[in-house]
Amino acid sequence: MPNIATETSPASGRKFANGAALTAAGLVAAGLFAPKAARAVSPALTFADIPGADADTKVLNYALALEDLEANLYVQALQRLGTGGTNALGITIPGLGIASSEIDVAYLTKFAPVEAAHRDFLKSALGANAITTLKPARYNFGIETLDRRGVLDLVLEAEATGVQAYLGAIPSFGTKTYVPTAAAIQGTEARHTSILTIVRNILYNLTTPVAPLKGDVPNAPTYDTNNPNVGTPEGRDQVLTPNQVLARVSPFIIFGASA
Amino acid sequence: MMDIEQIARDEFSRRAFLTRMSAAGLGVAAAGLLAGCGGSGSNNKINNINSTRYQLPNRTFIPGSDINKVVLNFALTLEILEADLYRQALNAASGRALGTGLDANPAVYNQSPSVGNGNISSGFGAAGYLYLKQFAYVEAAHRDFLIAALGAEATKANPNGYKFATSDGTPGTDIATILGNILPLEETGVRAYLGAAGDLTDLTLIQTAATIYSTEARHSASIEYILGQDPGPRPSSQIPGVPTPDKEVTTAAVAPNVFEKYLDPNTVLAAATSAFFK
Repeated sequence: MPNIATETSPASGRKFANGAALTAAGLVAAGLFAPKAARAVSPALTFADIPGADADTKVLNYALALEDLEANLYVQALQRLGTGGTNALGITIPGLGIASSEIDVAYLTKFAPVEAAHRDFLKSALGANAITTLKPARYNFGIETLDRRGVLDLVLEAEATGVQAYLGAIPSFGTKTYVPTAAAIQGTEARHTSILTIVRNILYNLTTPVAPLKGDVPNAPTYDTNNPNVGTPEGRDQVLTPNQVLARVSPFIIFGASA
Repeated sequence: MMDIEQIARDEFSRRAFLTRMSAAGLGVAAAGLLAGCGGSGSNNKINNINSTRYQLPNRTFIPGSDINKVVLNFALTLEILEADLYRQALNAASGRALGTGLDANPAVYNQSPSVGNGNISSGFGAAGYLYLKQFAYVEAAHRDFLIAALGAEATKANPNGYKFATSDGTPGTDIATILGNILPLEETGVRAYLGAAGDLTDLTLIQTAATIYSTEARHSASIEYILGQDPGPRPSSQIPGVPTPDKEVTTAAVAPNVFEKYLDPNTVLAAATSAFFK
């Protein structure tokens, strides 16, 4: 278990790893949004909440939910790093004014449309079967309070979680029909995870491995903040079940009326 | 810039701690890889199914008593190749004889003073050397994992060994060149796994194969970053040494960098054997 509890960064409350413990009440207490604003989904979503008339549709909708969140995170992250903006909850995101030539901004700019394309592809493929449960959902990442590194950390965690989420969902498919397509997206997330790890290593003089090493901790129970690429003894990527992933991301998902 | 010494220390201390765990756990994990997918492990005589999708150019079939074992032997064929060429590349970058085996202790490897960085900066050269070392052990671990899973049915290495697709068959004499010669192996590996995954009959088995596949994608992207290239996924026509054209998982028009590409197994086998088999 990463020592989240001992972290002093203001960003620590929004770590993906801390998701399950982060209740809507906690978010309000942390002042992340006005009391009359909508609340984070609680209790956390589970795979049973994901709609789909058959197993394949259910997994694709699960993927769509994650891609929608990820694509929106990129939008908000680039607003925060750049010239600012306002998210769908009406929260003002002041820009940090980081130059677009800086490598974190440059790679987030490169990857943002890829995540949007994943979302749009899944939405289009699902057509009328696409998940609507999350349609009114908006995302609160608390990004307006994160510093430059906090933004990169959060996006990196999202990508690393995405890699493990796709792997963990494969056995939930009903057939093999969509497995290659899902895997083709998952490999892309793996590339993003490695590149953002390199970017973070360069900017902050860190030494996080860019891919699972031979001998990484097997079955790590939670996300390892220090190594988003934690693997297995055989140097393979780790797996997270849909319920593990949904518990992590639910605190970012806000339902209800506008602020 | 990254502190190469610190990365190395972290890597080695962790590895020392985990080597025993790894040795103890590998057999169990690998046994689970094939659990529940039938098989005839206790039979002395193995009847290969001879899938025409998995055939070497000399018409030899990739062995396996069922399609899952054929696919895993296909993967093993590539992992043996990758592990051996990484071993040679690491030796070259470390100033050791190419034929030297992979040392059990990664600490013996250091970039040779006579091996320059090529057309990349010293910081990127140092990181590139580190990746070469880390990935060499990971590819060997993938190979050993598949061998353990396949047991008696595991395919054997090419008896004549492997060479790089260079004029003299050697990996190169500077870090950028060596990484550039490794890259087509990784990018072909990504495409090979994706092109074969659908032939596995069990979703859990596909999941396990995918945990290796995405590692190859990470390796590819990381090497491309070091070399100043687009970290992909991108068409094989942009990556010298990878068979062309590669295939898309969707017929929809897609923007660049959105989906991994794949290759059919026979395409991979033909290209790999002609380029890398001695």
